[in-house]
Amino acid sequence: MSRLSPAALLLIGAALVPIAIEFPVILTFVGIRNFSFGLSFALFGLVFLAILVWSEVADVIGSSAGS
Amino acid sequence: MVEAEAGSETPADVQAPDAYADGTLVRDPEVENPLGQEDFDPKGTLALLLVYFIILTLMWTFMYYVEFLGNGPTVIG
Amino acid sequence: MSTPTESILNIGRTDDETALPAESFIVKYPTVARVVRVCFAYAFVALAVGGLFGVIQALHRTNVIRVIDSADYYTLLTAHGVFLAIVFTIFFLAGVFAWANTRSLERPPLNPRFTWLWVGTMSAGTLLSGGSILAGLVAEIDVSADVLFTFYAPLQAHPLFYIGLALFVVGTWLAGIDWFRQYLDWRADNPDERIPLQSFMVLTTMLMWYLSTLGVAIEVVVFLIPWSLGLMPAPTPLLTRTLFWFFGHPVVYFWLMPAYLMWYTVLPKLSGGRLFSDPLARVVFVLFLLLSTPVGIHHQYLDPGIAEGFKFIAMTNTMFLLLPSLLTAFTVVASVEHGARQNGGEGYFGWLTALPWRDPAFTGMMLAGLMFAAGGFSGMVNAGMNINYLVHNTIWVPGHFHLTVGTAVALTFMAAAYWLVPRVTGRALYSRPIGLFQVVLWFIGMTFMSAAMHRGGLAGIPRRTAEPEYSKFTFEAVVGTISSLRLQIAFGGVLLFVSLVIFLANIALTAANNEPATGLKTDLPPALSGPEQSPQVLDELKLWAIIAIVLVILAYSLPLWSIINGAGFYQDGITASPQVVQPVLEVLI
Repeated sequence: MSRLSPAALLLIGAALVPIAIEFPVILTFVGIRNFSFGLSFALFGLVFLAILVWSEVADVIGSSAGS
Repeated sequence: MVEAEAGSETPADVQAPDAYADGTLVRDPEVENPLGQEDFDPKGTLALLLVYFIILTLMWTFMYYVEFLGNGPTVIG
Repeated sequence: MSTPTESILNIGRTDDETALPAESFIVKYPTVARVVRVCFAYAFVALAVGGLFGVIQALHRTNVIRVIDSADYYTLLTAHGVFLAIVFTIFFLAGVFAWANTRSLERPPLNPRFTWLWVGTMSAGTLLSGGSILAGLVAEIDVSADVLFTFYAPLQAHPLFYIGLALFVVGTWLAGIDWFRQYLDWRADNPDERIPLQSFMVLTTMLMWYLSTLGVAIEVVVFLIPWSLGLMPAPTPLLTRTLFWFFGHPVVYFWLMPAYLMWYTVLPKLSGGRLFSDPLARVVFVLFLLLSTPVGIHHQYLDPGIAEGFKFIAMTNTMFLLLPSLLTAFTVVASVEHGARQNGGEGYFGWLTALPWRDPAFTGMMLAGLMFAAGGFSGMVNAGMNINYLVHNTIWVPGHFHLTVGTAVALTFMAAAYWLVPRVTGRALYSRPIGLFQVVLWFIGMTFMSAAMHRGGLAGIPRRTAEPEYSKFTFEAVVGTISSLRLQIAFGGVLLFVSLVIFLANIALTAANNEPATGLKTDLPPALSGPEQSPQVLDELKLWAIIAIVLVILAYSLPLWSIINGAGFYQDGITASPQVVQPVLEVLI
């Protein structure tokens, strides 16, 4: 059992921000045009929660070594 | 090239000496397994740069839609 | 930071274990350390004022909160540009270069008085220019300089603004002379050695700067100062624009080169590795010396009066400039990967977890580099002649340069400060976790603001206006709505400002921290592939300077000739000269 450090959570959260912002743009490539910005953020908020839960239950490799 | 030849005798020679003449440490003392030039293959860098180039290509493709399909074409000259 | 060096040196002296080591920079070169501190102090004050004006603008033009009159928006915009893009960046550069040149040549400047002379000249120039901009906010003072960062005709500023700028540039020239004298002194002692890498970076950057500032010097001294004093008529806008952009593009590399210096020489150490290749680093700096200047016309793709062919040449040179930046992406990432592998990193992507992400200096520089990769893409769009027409003078362009100078440079400088300030003050960083939070917050804030600016630019929203709305016309965003883009810009701007306040507080508390800095004993590691593997010709600074001059002549002589022949020096075909000069000219010509 291991948990991600606050620094790792901060960086993972930060990395999700640009993805959440660009996600609606990526969807326009496949023809989905009306995917709202707020919906995208809600979605990636859930992704972040999922990572939190996963880090509680999984044995995270390398969590003690720097990240 | 000179250093590579020296390194071929004993791999450890490729590493820098631990200290400069004035006593300052060159390397962090906590580095336990120094990696010489011969043993280091930056494949992770290759992977990251490939990802970047794929993103660039996709962005350029997207630019085509923005420039030519979203709006009227821009004429130069 | 203003505390006298002597008292700083006494920190920890009573306790041998925590005393500053004799090899540390501040003990070996106390005068240079003080010069660096003064330069950083100027840089951070400019950063504070410029940043405050930045957030006011972001909230004003998005119509979220309006605390100023729309007419004052342009004063703040000018101050934001000049304080951040000239004063903050170049004073920080002066500090970094003074540190790097002294450290790598292992000797202080020859004459401390000369060093203080350039610090004083730059300071005087800053106070004059900055003061004349800020005076625009005070109705009682009849001085203003609301000409924006791009100070060319027909907008006119008070003469003090131009005189201050000229003094500032002269100060940077003197600083370059100081660093070259340091180098020549080293060369006399080491006739056959390769130039140390950091010093090589300082010298090539300064050569580029001497060449490129010729344009702005002629613009300011020959045209703008006499015009603002009322001695001469207004110069042709196209001519002053061309002279401005002669300097205006290379100046972006002048900001970037100290960031590159930190990425190449300090970042590998922070990651626990070594620079991958010294020869590649030298090639990159030589390429910037050669190619930075003959590209300025790419800012003028929409200027009538410059032939398409000249613009095409500028575009070609600009695309070549991608080469050194892509070389940098490879070399810097490979150096960081080397650090990760030395610390047990494995796999194609797994090595990324073996890096010191808790270190704000490391994480800040890495995030800055990541944003620069995105800025590289929008830069390619700007540089392409036909696509430029799509985004020219839209808010896309500020979106682009907030990625480059606003993040690649500014965030690297902030990260570098977390590493360098303890080395020039002898005081431990106040808080690393707060520093880490600050650099990540900057990254998030810029992601919001810059992405929304790019997208707004694609929808056609103009830049540099307090009121970006036109009656009977609505902008249409490609994705999402314009009001959502506005909120993102405002939100991002607020995050950036909060991040800035945290940074300045952390640095101020560091300057007042009585704990001695640690880790000063280890020096920067040498490159994996050292200077002995790089061709000797790379160190021939004279040769590269001559080639750079030739390239500039090739790129600029014909366009300038055709501007002067077509539009003339002065508007409406006036051939003007002061009354006292006229008789002399008649005799001569």
